[in-house]
Amino acid sequence: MSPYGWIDQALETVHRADWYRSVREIAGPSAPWIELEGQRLLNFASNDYLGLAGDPRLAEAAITAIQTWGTGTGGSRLVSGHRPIHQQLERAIATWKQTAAALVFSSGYLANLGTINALVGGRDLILADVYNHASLKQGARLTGAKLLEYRHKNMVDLRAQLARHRGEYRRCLLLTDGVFSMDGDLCPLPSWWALPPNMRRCS
Amino acid sequence: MAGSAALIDYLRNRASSWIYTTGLSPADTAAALAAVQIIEKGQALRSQLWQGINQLKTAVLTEIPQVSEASSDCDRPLRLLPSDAAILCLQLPNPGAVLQASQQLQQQGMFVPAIRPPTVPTSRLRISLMASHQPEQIAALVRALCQIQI
Ligand SMILES: Cc1ncc(COP(=O)(O)O)c(C=O)c1O
Repeated sequence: MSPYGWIDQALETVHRADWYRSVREIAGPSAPWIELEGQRLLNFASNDYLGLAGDPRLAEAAITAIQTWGTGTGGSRLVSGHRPIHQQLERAIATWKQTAAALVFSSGYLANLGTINALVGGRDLILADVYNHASLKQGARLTGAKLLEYRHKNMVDLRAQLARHRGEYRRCLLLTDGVFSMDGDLCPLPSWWALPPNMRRCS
Repeated sequence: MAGSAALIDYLRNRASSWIYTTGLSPADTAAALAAVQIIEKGQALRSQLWQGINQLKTAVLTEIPQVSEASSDCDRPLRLLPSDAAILCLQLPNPGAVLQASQQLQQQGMFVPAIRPPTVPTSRLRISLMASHQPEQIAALVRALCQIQI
């Protein structure tokens, strides 16, 4: 038997649980009308909320950048991959968000994974909303920190767990989405700032 | 990631998923910069998006007989979950029902994904809007939602 036979078995398990998923091909750009496997449909499944992914101004900026710097950067940012356009984007984001600085990762998933793991480690505590996005959940798991989940947006549960466990750990990271992407509801971030200063951290 | 100068400097030295990967491509970076510039310049896109959200929310609650609000205790099959963004979810009783509903919508020309456990705790149709949706497109979605039979 092939040493990789377990992959087929694992897939079979996914099928049996009715959890099997596969890709479906969309013909054109992200837009209100799409062609999905030959059928013309109104698209209510996009995270392109402002409709900018198909905007010609963005396409033009991307084409100009390719003509100037090529399609790839040829290295990591710290070695040989840093270009003026990175600096410009990071400045623009910092200005927009009214912070001193910003750092552009290659995706939101990577930003969450990398930031969480830079901030906390094995001696620390993470308190996380149970509905957080997969990138926050996976990021938290990878740290090796003690991970406790509180009930969705439940400040009472959060405060109780903080009071009970905070003292046993070096640092504590409170981890929540701002907009929860599966339901579309918001974290009441302002009420977080009412937490005692020694208990504050935010992502 | 946006933050203090010290935090960002620290991340440049400690965030592995930024350090050990090829810098974001020039095309992606330039497109993102153009997007930030457009967003900063005006509220137009955001207010278009919010008009659509409000139109859909109102219509879902007033025009679709099968829908109730999540907080209400009446026994209708579709429940509108609380939302404050461009994502509106209609919860259905089980994974089979939500798959059926999504297929019925697709037959009517609407692409609305069925999201099921384990991705989420309860099965739901997940509708996301774009600023570029026209009012009549949202109205067409509402008409299609009215036709769902489970
Ligand atoms: C709340 C939330 N965080 C993070 C991500 C990941 O971002 P990205 O797609 O840029 O990796 C997503 C979805 O894509 C999301 O919905």
